[in-house]
Amino acid sequence: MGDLTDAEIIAASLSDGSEFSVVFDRYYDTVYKYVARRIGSDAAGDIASEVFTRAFAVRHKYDTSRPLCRPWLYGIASNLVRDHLRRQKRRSRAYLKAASQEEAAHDAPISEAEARASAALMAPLVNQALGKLKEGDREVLLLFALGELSYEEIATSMAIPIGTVRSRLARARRRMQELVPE
Amino acid sequence: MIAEAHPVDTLLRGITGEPSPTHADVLGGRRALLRAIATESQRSTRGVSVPSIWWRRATAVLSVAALVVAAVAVAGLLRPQPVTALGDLARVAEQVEAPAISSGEYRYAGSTDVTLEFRAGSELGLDERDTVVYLLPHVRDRWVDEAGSIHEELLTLEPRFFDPDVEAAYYASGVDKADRVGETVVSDFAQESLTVFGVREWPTDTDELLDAMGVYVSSQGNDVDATGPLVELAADLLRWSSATPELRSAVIEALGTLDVEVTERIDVDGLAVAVTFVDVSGIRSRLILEFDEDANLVRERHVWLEDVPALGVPAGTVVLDSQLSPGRVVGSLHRP
Repeated sequence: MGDLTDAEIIAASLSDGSEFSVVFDRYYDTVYKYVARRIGSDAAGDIASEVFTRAFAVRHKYDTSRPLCRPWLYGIASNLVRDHLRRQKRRSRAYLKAASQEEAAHDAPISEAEARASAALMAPLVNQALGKLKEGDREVLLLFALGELSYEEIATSMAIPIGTVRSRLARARRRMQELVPE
Repeated sequence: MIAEAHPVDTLLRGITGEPSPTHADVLGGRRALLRAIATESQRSTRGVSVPSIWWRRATAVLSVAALVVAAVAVAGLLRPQPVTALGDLARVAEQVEAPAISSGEYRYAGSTDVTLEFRAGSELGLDERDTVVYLLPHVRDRWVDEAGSIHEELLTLEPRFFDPDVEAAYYASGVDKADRVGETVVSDFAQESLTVFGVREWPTDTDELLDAMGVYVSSQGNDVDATGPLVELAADLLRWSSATPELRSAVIEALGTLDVEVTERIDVDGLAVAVTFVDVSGIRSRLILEFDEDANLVRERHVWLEDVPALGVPAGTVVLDSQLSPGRVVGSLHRP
């Protein structure tokens, strides 16, 4: 399975579901990281887990002309994160959990720890600013900055043209800079 | 692959850090996926000739999209959301303990409901009619004490009629007295008499619960795979019952495996679950359950989707509409 593309593995999993575990092995960590960055580590495990069970359930819809499935998984993750945040309105300001990062900062090199501590202090302001972005702009920004997807991958994930990705990202960054003064 | 290091990206990454899953996270995720793989495998090897829980789950996946459209059209109150949200609700249910009550305290819950009442025409002096129907509203207050005993006060309000002749006959024949319209009836029960089918004995493992529910509806003369009766049973298990959080969670999760539509409630937090089926009266119906954000069942509606000329009931009539308030602890037998 090592040489097969994601698309080939997904195609194989249609007749033998167990093949899909290769997709899990390849992407669980990165999906978890993206989800945890969006909603914090407390619920990230459940949501990341659900990404793969959902993906497994709808794998017959996967476009096998696309060799890499990461954008597809991130698209599912984004939807689940959005649902989760909607469900948990009381915690909807937890886009970014500063507290847990402060703990992580203790173990980081001094310069990095300082940078994180500084960023953590800004977290409430950043959360508010994110909440003021248009939903589509916010998704693009978070997929780029936290999901570390390329423009093309974001376009695939959100089923929008790459030009729209660029314009949304530029608009989101500009708005964030207005809302979060340095 | 990061193409640019824009200050906003740097800020966001700085705040969120580099989270990584624990061993338990990875194991949990892998276990969930393996379970999904096993479920699918089991379903495909059983085949469709044997109606089963697995088959019901398969058909649920296929029919959700179409039925969501129907839900919006019929209920007019719902909008589609992914079925996965029920999983969230089940997890909430697991974490929400019923408020503890100590000696001298009560768990209070109120409800209003409207139910379709059936009577023989002869009872109203309408001998030419086999059956007449009308809608009878109630206001119900219920207190449960520490020992589980129930004190209930039931106020019956003026009925609503579909036919003025029936209305006139109803009062002329004194059936309003029999229905105790305008009266508050006070009753006291031992909890066991109202506990739903020994609710505490229902399994809390979702698969086992589904099997047990199937056995129960089958024992009531329904097809074991009949979704409507299963949803009705789910409501029975959640309504008024002293079900544990684990059971409530399992019931909600079980609902998610049935052939139901799941939608978000309008204007308020929570979810609605709806199913269209032929009810015990043989009438095509729609049953809608609504849950609040704490996974409490807060409303049930049963709508007849077809005209019933023999009873003078038009399509779209809500034959049961029950709204329940989540329980709260009070210090006396007085309405809070």
